[in-house]
Amino acid sequence: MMEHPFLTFSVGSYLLGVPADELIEVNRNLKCTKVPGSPKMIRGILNLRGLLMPAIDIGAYLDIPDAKSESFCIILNVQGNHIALMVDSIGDINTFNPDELVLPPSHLLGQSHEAILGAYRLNEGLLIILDTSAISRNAQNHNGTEPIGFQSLPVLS
Amino acid sequence: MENHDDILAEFILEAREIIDQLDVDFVRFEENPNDPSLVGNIFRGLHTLKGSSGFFSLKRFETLSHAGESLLGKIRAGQITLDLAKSSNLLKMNDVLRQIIEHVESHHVEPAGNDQELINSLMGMANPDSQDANSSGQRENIVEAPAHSIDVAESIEPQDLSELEVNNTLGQGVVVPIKVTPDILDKLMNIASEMVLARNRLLPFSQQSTDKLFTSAVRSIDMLTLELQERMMKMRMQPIFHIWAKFPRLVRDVSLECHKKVRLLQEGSETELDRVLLDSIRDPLIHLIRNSIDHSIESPAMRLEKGKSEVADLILRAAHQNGMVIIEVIDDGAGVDYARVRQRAIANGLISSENANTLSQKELINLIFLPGFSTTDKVTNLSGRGVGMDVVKNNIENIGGSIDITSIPNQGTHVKLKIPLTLAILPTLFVQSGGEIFLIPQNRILELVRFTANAPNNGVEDFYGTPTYRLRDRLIPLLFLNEQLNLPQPPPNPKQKLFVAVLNFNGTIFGLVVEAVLNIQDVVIKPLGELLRDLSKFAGATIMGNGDVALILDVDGIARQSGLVERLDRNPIRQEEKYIPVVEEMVSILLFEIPGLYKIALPLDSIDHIVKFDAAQIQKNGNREVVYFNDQLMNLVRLNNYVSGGVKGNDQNALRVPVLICRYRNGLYGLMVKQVTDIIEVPAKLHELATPQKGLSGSIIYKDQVINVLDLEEVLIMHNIQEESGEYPQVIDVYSPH
Repeated sequence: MMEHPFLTFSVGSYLLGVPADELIEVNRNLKCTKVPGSPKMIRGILNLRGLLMPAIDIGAYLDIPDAKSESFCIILNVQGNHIALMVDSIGDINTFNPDELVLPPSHLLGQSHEAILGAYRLNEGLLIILDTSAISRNAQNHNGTEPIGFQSLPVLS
Repeated sequence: MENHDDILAEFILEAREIIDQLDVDFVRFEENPNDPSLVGNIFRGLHTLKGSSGFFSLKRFETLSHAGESLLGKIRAGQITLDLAKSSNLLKMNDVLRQIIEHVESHHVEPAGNDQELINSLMGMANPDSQDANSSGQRENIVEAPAHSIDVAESIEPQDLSELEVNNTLGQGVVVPIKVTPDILDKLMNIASEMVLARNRLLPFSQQSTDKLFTSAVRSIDMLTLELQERMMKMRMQPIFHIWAKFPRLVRDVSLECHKKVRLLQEGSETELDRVLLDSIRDPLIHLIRNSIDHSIESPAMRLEKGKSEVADLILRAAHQNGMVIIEVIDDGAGVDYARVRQRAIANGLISSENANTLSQKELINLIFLPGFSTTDKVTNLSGRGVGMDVVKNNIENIGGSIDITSIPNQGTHVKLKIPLTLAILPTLFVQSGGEIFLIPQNRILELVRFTANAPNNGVEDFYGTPTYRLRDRLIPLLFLNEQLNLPQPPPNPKQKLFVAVLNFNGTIFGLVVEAVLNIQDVVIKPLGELLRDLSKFAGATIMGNGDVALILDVDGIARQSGLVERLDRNPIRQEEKYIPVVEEMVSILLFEIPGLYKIALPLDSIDHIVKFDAAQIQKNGNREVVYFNDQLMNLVRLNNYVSGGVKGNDQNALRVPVLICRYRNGLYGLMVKQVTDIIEVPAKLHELATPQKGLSGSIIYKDQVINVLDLEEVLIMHNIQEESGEYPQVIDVYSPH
């Protein structure tokens, strides 16, 4: 079975990951323009060399209370749509075997459940893999449900 | 096979071009049947088509074009002359050829179909001698025909080649144009504009730097970028000829169908326009041309009766003007039938019959743009379905253009379209609201007005919960941009100037209030597209010179979401106040100020004198203030103590006090005011105040101001009651002394 590479990053005390093959670049200090009337999870619009994309505040999206989501922008190309994820810090690119993915607990509801593909067990805790296509979908059509109860997931020690 | 596909695709492109050109040429040929170069062009074009189609074994295409070629060969050889029936048949053939090509393009095979009838008729025309023969003989003719026409083709071919050779030698330095897909152009365009932005970021560094090598390198980048941008803009432009080329054929067909004679004149076909815009004005233009021929232009008999020439002129004119393209459609027909428009508008329930008679021609023409309006009872396939001018208007306005119709009965109709040069670049007004910068498309702004937010008579009035602004003689509803976008209210500043951008939303004029107007700038529009699609308050975004993103407001979206129109429907703003009937009796009134009230007035003839007294001259007589004037003591009345809205008190500190001297029941009274401002002419009729106000008899609307008219009698009665009782009267409760 082929191993998949994932870019890891952290938001608040959580360690998260997205598929590395969707990664375009990681950027700092991109200025973002607020869009009045947009939901809280959308920080605004970013300009990356002429390409406009929504900047998604992962902390707000997953309702992580201690998130700062200000330092780094992870720019992804998800099936042709560009999105930027605002996160706290960037980790390594690690590879995992898809068979080892642990599915999220079924009692997670709404947006959080939708946004999470599953998790990999690491020595230091869980690496939560985000469903980028669901995030991208929600960024475009933000009538999605409100973020609910991410706290029920185990926190990194 | 792929190779074959490539060649086929090229053939389809070429065939489309030739067929389009043939359309133009056939119509021109019809007008100049003796032009040998025209028939040569047509023949060559058709010959090329036939040859290539044979290569791709498009049998149907080949036989049909062959039949046309045979007929043309005869015409070219001068054996027969072109007439209406022949050219109609040739045009019909061209249409079938186009259908076949379109089908081949989408399905890669020829469509099934039988063109035998058309071929027979073409062949019949090519061999007029055999046309006399009976119908059974026609079949023979057809069998014969190929052999016969091959002769013609062969006899012509050498000539043909020689002409081609001449063309080749002439065009030897000419590079064949390359066909590029619009996608690539758009991407290049995008990169070029990004290049400009990147350069803008670089320039400040170069200005600060002392390194000559660096600054000169930046300078060359600067120049190159500029040129790159200009060239890119040029690349998007195409002459309007590309869509006009189809119009001679259209005019011919429509005028035949309507039994009218029309000559089409095209001026300025080299005028260039963004190709996206070009596409979007094609249908409106077709509609306008059809309208002209079907509605405005009269039948030949009618025209002769009116003393006009039998053939009507239809002029298409295009020109650049002030960064816009002006396209005009002018005919010399009967023009808009105003009486009929009025009648139809009443019949369709668009206006009431009382209103109809007061409408000007301009207003009647505007009715044509209403959805569902049509002046014809009978529905033809050309017009009369009542879908039309409103769609034309919408389409033109969607691309930032405007449409204007003028029409003089029996002299014709003049339609003027104003189209921006390009869609990608939008002139916008940068405004600020809630501390953020937003862009309003410049073409939506009717005017900009500035007012002081907290000044007492700033023109802002409340109308059943809708703030309105009195702009000249009409009230316009206001929307505050920061409220519409849920942006924080700026900290109140008593001297804050606000700006009103006066905008039009489907005929509703409203004002959008912003905090600041920054500048006007052309911006490159980036669609918000999929992302944030639900946010209908924004039309798009742009990247500013510093790389930041700014949002372009969708004026319509904001107006729609604000619920303004519904609110106005429930409580329509009464504009009738603005009408000051001219016949009314006019009076002169004196305008003056008293503490607390800025516009207050008295009829001029109730005032004897206006005198300024020194403050020292004002003396006390008991509790009264008096002044010695004309050898007698005159009571002074501080108006602000008796009039609603006045700031009460006796502490007028001015050194010289203007006093209006009036006579009341044989006594003289001096009315103390703050300042005398003006004498104006107003209608004698007062607007009664809704709730009676103390000391005021009514109000007058003058320009956009409410002027309060003093009730002299009431004020003086109040004054006298006070004088007699030695106290200010309880009932009036205006002022209680300390």
